[in-house]
Amino acid sequence: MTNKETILIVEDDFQIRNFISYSLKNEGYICKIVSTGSRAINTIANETVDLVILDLGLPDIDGIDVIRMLREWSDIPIIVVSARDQDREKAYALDLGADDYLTKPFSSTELLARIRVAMRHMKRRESVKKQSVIQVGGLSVDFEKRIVNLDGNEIHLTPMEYSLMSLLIKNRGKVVTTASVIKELWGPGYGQDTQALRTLMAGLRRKIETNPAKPRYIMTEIGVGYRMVEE
Amino acid sequence: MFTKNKRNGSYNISRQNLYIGPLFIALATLVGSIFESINLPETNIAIVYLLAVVAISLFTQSYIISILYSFGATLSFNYFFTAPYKAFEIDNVSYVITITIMVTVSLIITMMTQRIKTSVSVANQRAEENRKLYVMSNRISGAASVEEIIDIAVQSMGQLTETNILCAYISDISQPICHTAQYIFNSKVRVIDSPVEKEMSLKQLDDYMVELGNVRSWKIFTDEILFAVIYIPHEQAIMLEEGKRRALMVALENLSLAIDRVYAVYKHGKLQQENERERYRSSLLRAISHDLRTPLTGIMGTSEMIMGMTPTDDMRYELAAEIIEDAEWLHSLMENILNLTRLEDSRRYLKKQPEAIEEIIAVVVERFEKRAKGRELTVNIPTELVIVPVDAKLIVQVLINLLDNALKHTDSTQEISLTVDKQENGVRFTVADRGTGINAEDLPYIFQMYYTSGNQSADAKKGMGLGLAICKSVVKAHGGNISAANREGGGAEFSFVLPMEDTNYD
Repeated sequence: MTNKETILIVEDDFQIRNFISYSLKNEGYICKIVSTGSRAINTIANETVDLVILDLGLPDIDGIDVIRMLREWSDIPIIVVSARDQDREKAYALDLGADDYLTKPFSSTELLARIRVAMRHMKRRESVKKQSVIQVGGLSVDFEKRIVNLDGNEIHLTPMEYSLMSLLIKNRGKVVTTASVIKELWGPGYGQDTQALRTLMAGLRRKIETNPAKPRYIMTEIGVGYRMVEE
Repeated sequence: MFTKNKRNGSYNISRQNLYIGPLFIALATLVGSIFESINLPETNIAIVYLLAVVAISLFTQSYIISILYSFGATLSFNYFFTAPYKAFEIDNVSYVITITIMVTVSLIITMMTQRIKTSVSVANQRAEENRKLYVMSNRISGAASVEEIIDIAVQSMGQLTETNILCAYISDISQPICHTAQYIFNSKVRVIDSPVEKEMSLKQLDDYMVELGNVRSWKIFTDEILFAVIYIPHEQAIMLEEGKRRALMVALENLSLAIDRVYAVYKHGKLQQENERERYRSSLLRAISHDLRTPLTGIMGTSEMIMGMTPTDDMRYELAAEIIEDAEWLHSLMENILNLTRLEDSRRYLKKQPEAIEEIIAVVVERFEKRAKGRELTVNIPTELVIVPVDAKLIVQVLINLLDNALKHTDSTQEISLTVDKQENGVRFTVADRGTGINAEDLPYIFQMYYTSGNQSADAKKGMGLGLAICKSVVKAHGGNISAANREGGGAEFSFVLPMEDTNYD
């Protein structure tokens, strides 16, 4: 019982609510449970909550709207748990500010792993507002000097590769959607052309990964986006 | 079906020609003799004859006949009024001049009046044709069905061209059975759907008509589909005057536009129907997907919970683990069925984007390692970047299905490999194993839905045989090919090729 964080479960299905709260309590988290979107917003506004597990198919408001409303005033970590399996909806929720997205059915081990990542994220955000060097495994990026090191050796990146690298490493552990990478790197008018991004990514991977078929640092979330590992 | 047609009107005209000439010449002779009796000069008499020539050519239709009469008038002037009288001889030179001028003037007058008359009649004819065309397009634009349009068009064209018309057409694009409508000019009869050519396609009928010969035909297309053919008997078609030919062309154009309009309405309706069906289907899929996922989550989660509460040597631990295993199987079956249903309308659901092969392979390798803990997978992919337009999620599923299949037919020591190589205009993916291989009798049916190898009972679990059927649908929807074979030295090999170029496939 080492964890003391409070997690709010927003879910209307009794069985799912039950097993999520059981495995969370098992891990030492404190659980609060609500079954509607409006009560979720109320609880987050008035009580101490460290993380939200949010189902999208709620009886009163759509979960997507709950994310939108929450993000107007809160940066509380949100993990979406949904029966909707379309990539479009996944990317939409992530772009709106959800930290992670799990498609039902999922295992509690998976959920717990995602919760740990989101919690670390939040703590990192709180402790250091701006880091000048970020280290992930043998990879480090010095934002002041604009230097990237891999296993102690400096590697040379093109300006675009550097932008892609810093975007991913600042959001490490989190999926950055294809649309938001394109928007960040090429500007909002560029549309949905993924070809340029795929080529850029291949170039970057050839500089930092030893085996592109088994990447160590940048993982692909097919149909959704990319995720930099945490360590 | 076509009968000969003679113009009845021509007899009246020639009869009129016969008596008009002599009548006017006699009148002129009568007036001339009166002039002569009161001693007026011959030139006045000549003028009276010229007047007669003008009158004749005004009332005569035929060019040649009026020229003949103008000679006749000159000759009777010569016969009655120039010396020597009552003879066709001339003894005075001045008469020669008078007669020559008279002939010339009467010829010119004849020609001019005839020309004016021709252009008047052409103008009248044009006006009449335009009126008929106007009536046709008016009636046709009010017509609602193909049958009605064809009926009006055939009747109007027959009246315009004054010929027999046969029209072969299809009334329903989706059911290309030929119908006919004809118009027989001299009996003014319309025959709709003559029963002879039932159950014949338009193409067959057209071939038959062409073989018969002696018809001229005009084809009408809508949306590049042959919709109707208009036939006119050859001997009537070559007799068509320029004006009528032109009117016929306008009428054909009218007909074609009218058919286009009806067809567009029909297509619009059909599209709407299809959209409706599509909406229904995707909401059904969504509902099924949602309604199955939620209870599966509950079953799997609750079983995990039971496992967590039970010591591992307790029998209940084992039972809960089996529940999870079954639920996972149900889950993968559900995913497969959903994908298969979606693929039925591949054009709508396939979300092809340029994707890097290495990313797809990386995801497949990651999932494989999660599924088959401890199993080795040999991976070979091109070192350079290969980008192919694919629906990445579906290709990942194809590879996972093939690898699952390989896992099922190998033991933990036997090698499984995944190879990608670039070919001339495609990328080949190969999943090979050193397992039991494929039975020769199963080989032709291996990609069929619900086919499981013969030595298993049909309801044997985990042999639903959907996995390979999905592989085939996905690859086909991408415009590629999938094949299975046994390897030399044992084991099976599945490979598929995806085209590098993005084209539309059905």
